[in-house]
Amino acid sequence: MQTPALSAVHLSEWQKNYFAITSDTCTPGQKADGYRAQILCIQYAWANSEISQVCATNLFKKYAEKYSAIIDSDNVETGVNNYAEDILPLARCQQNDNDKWQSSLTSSNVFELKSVQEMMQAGKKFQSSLMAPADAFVVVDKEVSACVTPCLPKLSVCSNAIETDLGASLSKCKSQGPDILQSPPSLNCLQNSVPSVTKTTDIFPSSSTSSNILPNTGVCATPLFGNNKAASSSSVTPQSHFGIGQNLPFSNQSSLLAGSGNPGKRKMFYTSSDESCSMNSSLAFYKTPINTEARNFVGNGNGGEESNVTGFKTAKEQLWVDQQKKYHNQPQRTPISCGGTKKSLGAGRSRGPFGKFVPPVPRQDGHENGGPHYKPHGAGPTESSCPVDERLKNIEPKMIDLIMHEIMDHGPPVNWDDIAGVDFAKATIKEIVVWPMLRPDIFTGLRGPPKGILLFGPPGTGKTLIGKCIACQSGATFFSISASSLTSKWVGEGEKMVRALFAVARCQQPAVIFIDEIDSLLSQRGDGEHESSRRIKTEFLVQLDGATTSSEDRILVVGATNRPQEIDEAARRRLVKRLYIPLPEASARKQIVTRLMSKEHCSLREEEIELIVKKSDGFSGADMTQLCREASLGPIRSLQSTDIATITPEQVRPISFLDFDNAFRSVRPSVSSKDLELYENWNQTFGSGR
Amino acid sequence: MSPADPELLLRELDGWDRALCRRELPCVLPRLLSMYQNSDDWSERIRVLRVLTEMFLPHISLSELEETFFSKVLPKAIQLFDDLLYELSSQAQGLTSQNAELYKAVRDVLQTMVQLLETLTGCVRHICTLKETVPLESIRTLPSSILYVIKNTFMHCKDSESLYSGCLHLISDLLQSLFKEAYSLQKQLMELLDMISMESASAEDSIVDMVSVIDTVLGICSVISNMDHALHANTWKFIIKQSLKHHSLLQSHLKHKDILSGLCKDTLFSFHSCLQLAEQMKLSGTQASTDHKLFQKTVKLCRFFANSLVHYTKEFIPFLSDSCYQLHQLYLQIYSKFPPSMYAPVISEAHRDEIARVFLVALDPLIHQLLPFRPFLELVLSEKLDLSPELHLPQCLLLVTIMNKLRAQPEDVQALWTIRSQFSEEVSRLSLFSALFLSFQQCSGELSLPVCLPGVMGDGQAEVPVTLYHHVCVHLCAFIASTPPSHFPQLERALLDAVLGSSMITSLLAMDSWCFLARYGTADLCAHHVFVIAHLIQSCPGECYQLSVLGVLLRRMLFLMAPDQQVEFTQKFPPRETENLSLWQHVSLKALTPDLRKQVAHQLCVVGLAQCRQWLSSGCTLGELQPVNVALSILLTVCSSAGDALEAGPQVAVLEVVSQLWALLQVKQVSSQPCLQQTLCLLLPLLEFFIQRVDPQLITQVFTVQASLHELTPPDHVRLAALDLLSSMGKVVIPKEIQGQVIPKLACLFASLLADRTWLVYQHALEAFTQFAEATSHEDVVPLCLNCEETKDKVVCFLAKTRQGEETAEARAERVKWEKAACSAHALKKNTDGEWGSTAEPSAKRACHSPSEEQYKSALDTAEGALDAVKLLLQKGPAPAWLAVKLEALQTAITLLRSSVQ
Repeated sequence: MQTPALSAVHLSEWQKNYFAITSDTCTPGQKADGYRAQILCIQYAWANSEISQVCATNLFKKYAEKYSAIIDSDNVETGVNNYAEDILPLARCQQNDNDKWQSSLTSSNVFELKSVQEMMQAGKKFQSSLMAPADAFVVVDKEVSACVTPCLPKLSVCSNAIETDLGASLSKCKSQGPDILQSPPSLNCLQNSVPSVTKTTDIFPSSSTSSNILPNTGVCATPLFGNNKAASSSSVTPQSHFGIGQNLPFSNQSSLLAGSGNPGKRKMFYTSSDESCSMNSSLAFYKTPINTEARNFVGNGNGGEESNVTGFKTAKEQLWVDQQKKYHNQPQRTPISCGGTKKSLGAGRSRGPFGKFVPPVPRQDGHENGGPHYKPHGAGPTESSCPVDERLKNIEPKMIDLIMHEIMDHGPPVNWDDIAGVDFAKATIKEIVVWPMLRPDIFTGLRGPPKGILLFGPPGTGKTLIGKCIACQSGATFFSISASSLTSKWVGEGEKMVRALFAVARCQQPAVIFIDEIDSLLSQRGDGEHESSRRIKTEFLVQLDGATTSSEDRILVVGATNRPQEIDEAARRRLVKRLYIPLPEASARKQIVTRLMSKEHCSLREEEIELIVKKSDGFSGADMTQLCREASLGPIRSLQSTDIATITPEQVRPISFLDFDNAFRSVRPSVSSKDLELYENWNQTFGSGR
Repeated sequence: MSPADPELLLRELDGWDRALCRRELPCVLPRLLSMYQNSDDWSERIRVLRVLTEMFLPHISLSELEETFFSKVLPKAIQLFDDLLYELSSQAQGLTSQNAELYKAVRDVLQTMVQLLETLTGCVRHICTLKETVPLESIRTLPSSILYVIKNTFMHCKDSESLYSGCLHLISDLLQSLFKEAYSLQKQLMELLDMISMESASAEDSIVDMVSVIDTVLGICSVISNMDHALHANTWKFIIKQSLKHHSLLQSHLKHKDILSGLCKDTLFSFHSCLQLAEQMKLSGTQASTDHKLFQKTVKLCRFFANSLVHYTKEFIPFLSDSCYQLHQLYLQIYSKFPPSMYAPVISEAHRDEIARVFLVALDPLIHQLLPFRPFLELVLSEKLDLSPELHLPQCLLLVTIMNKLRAQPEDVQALWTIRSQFSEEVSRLSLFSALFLSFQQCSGELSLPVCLPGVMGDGQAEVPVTLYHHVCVHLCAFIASTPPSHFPQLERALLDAVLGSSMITSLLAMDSWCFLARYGTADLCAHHVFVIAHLIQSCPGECYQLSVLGVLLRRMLFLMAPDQQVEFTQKFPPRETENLSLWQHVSLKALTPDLRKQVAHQLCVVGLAQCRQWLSSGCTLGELQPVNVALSILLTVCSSAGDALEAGPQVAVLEVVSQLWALLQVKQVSSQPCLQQTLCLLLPLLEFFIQRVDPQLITQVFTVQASLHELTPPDHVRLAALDLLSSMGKVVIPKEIQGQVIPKLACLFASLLADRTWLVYQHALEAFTQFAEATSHEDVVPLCLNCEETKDKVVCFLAKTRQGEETAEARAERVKWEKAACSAHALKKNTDGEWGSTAEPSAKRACHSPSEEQYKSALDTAEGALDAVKLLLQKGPAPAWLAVKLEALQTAITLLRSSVQ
């Protein structure tokens, strides 16, 4: 037998591989090596007759399955894809006529092989060794002592069909006579083993009466995670759905575009990939219907080593990924670029030898020539996706994702009258933005809309609100960007982002790009500043109105800042319309207060409002809202602390002028008169307003 | 004018000028010759000889040079040389520093020999100065005699150390000049032989002469092999040049075998000296420049030898059929001593790269030339090629390089290599595929080390070293990708043989390549293979190792099948019929498309359940248990791989059947009947699958049976099967009423398995226990399982991922070599007496025929002999630096052996 010293060495080697495989920093290649090392250990243990052949075979089966899950899977993170990326460069220079390979093995001539004959003999030998002929008739039965279970005495005679045929088998054994059973006492143990058997079955018959309620209780059968999983699985962005295969670089952008035409369309996309996961629960064929008391079947019964072979947690997810694997595998077979008939697997000439390596599982969308019941799964959008947008050719898909998700704005709808005052600015914007959108035919040539407008003014006067309003009212794709999202920590990344932004915007015309705190992006280009921010600036200016931009590009950049004087003069030149958003006048303030108070439970008379408006001179819009908020807390503060817990919202007294009065004591205007001067004279020099 | 007395004649001749000599030549020459013939005084003979060669030889015309001069002078000169030599060797023993006159005599003899050589050199130099081309016939006897002199001089110089024993230093100066003289004589002769032409009609005897010349020069080569690198190289250059120069004439006469074996020997010798130098430099750590320069010089010498070898084989390939063996051995020897082989000496990275860059690159074209050469391939691919262990890896790498090179060869050459020898008269040889699989199987040691090779140069990525398996797999698949259709049958047969072979790692390689083939070839081909494999599985009478290996292959291939062909598969082997169950148990339903999976899962479930119920109701005899086992494994496959395609209804039904079957299990029967053990091993994973919904009463039953079974120490695969269930118990909250019964049994089960003596079962017990401990809600059970201290700290350090029994690299290499022998012996035993389907219990129990005593005795005698030799060497001189390390490695190997003997 194995000596203790040597087995310790083997044990430590096995553990080394085990730790390597289970550590999460392990690449698929290392995992494959680890499994092979373990298989070698098994082989040596068997050769050294430490373990039996059956044990060696079982272990080999178990670890070969784990190993093959890595080798055969083409998922980049977990698979090695049969070492395709190493083999193909080697095999590239030869003529590839693998489509003419004809197998010569037939089920008859395969038996001439020596190894196959050996297998047959081994099979016969094993068959005889399994069981001595003598005890073929020995009955497999339960020992008396072992099966005395407490539940035996209270056994209730069950009355259904199963029990009767078991009874028949009981009588049949007795009729065969005691000699077959090794010892007479086992005869009666057979009786009590049978009841225990029937005991387990009696749970089911009592439930048979409840079979008719099956359809509605069927819900417990559908895996718990059925619905949310589908959502989560479909929440996996469509990009990754198509992004896996390396031989599909261009199509995922195009499908990207198709999916993201406009937010509405993307929804459709989700539903299509969702319906295939719905569950049907036709269970009529089973003799013993579902037992309602049986604990709800936890959908993710991932027992057995099968599911963890491919490392997926839940069967649902496994199902979904498998479909991806099946469908993604085979785009070549019905390649988008050259449709044509169903080519034989992997032998399509058009892609040249390097593209040759095609997993053989073809996708059956479009033409069904086998498996008619086979409905294409989620394949629709890729077919109809618009041809690839060459303008997006050299933009990194990662950035496009970022832009698609983070920057495209879809907040609550805002309309013009939500913005109090600033009528002049609103009018100009309508003229510059909304009307050209409505009548692009009129507003061409000289009348064409400007490329950029600048909103400047003290903070809290509604510049951002205007931006949002432009988005909702203009119906254009609205990109809202903060300067920080453009500057990234990687040098050179910033201007790529800007380029990507404008490229996407160009594909989504008409587009409005709203940039808050534009001063931090386009500040005066001094010599001391960091080189990367300078590059971002130049890129931005070029995109705004440089050599490459064509005149009829309908992209509008709306900049908002409260330090206009810091903006670079080149930027200033490009933001042709510079609108001053002043502090709200009395009427505007009045409008803000009335609108805010209308939603609140308050008792303010007209003249009180006038008084408030008068007292709040110099307040910006934000200050006004802060004031109203402070006032609305007034009634709460006047309550004693005891009944704060018990009081119902209706009992709180309405907001009165007194509250506003106290609020005035704590809320100060955030804009000083000096700042105002600054804006005033900047407006005189550069402003394009009145 | 011609005084009778020779002395006077000689003195008179001194004064003659050239014209006088030519005029007097006819009369003076005979007299001088006669004088030379019969004078026995050495110095006088030498003087006459010198006069002859310097004054009269130039005037003899080329045509009658041979008969008038050489035929007469040379035999005498040779005879003189022999006398001198004899004199030297006889006096040499007695030579001591005391007796001066003996010493003086020896010096005189040496002096005369040096003069003799000088005159001969002068004579040869004269012939070189002749303007017109010298035919060989005109100087027929010269080369052979000169070579005779040179060879013996060199021999004398070589064993002078032993000849003159103590007082070599006394005459070392003369020996030095003697050597130098011989050196220049040989150079002169070689220059002469370069100039001679052999195109003349009566070439017959001159060919014989030339062949003998080359042969003697070859002899000289072996004499001077380690005396002087430059001379050695030049001599070889001469041999190669001459044989190539008169290629057409000589090719059938040359003794190619000797020449080649000489070349191979010298190449190998210089390669080994390179390695030794590198190893010393590595061990001594200092990068002494002298060592390094010497190293570089030797590497260049190796390259020279490699180039000449390649050049020679290219020219004379048709004649080299019997020296293929040497070439093959040379290639294998070199690569067995070169990293990454286990048997290579430890040398530094720089040296290794330099050797590879300079020498191995020069050697590579050799294989390229030998590809189309049939005797070579019959040798490499012969079935009965048994190599010593250190040559297994080089053979495997050789086959891989041949595969890479074959891809660029024309199809007929590829056919030579890949088609197995069908005709009987041919030497029986394997196809390249099976040969690779066979040699791969022999490298089990290198595989488990694992030996790493430079990876494929990916475009742009850094080259990362890959394991041997990865290297062979990638190159094999690349070769498969380029196999022409005509060779495809050979490929298939080799793959099937390898899959069904005895070594697991080789069948793994075959499976990987087959899957690559399936993905790379057409869908119909893949389907066809799946049908053939399925048919094979169905027609195998019983369970055996190969059947499960085929099962794994089928399972993998099904994943790669096209959906419509998967449908065809289900139609061809309908899951409804019971005889297909044995096939479907190997298939993972994950491979099928969802709808197909639902159908198949449903049908399999129905058939499986029916089978079990039919057995349950028909008197549960042991005889018909086997079909039930098949049905159970079907249910297991369906439950584990169908995922949610299997609705709750059938699952409950399966659970119900499982519990019925479990109720019948009786410990005594299970421990005795292998068939029942198989049932148990199938029921346990099924239980594990339903562990969340198994009712408490059944759990108690399971644990009572398991506990009592494990007291009877069941076979290892039963113990292993229990572990899966135990680890899944972590996920279960054991209801109160049965905790009392189940928990102690669970604890003692874990305790017994954690103390298992088979290390594989013990390791899986560790893994199962850690999973259980992490997941279980019954924390109190965990300490119960670790009853004894020793298992406790083993589990602790397993959790902390620390390993005991760390072994050093050398010990590991030693162990792997030692195990490699055991593995190949096992594989041999498996193939010879084919006791494949041995009965279930481990063969250890059966008294395997232990090797006889004399085998032990002979092995130990050789070991002792080796040790004594080392002891002797140690007394003689200072031990090399690497000796200590080697001894230490031997020490560990001996301790390992001793511990395995107790």
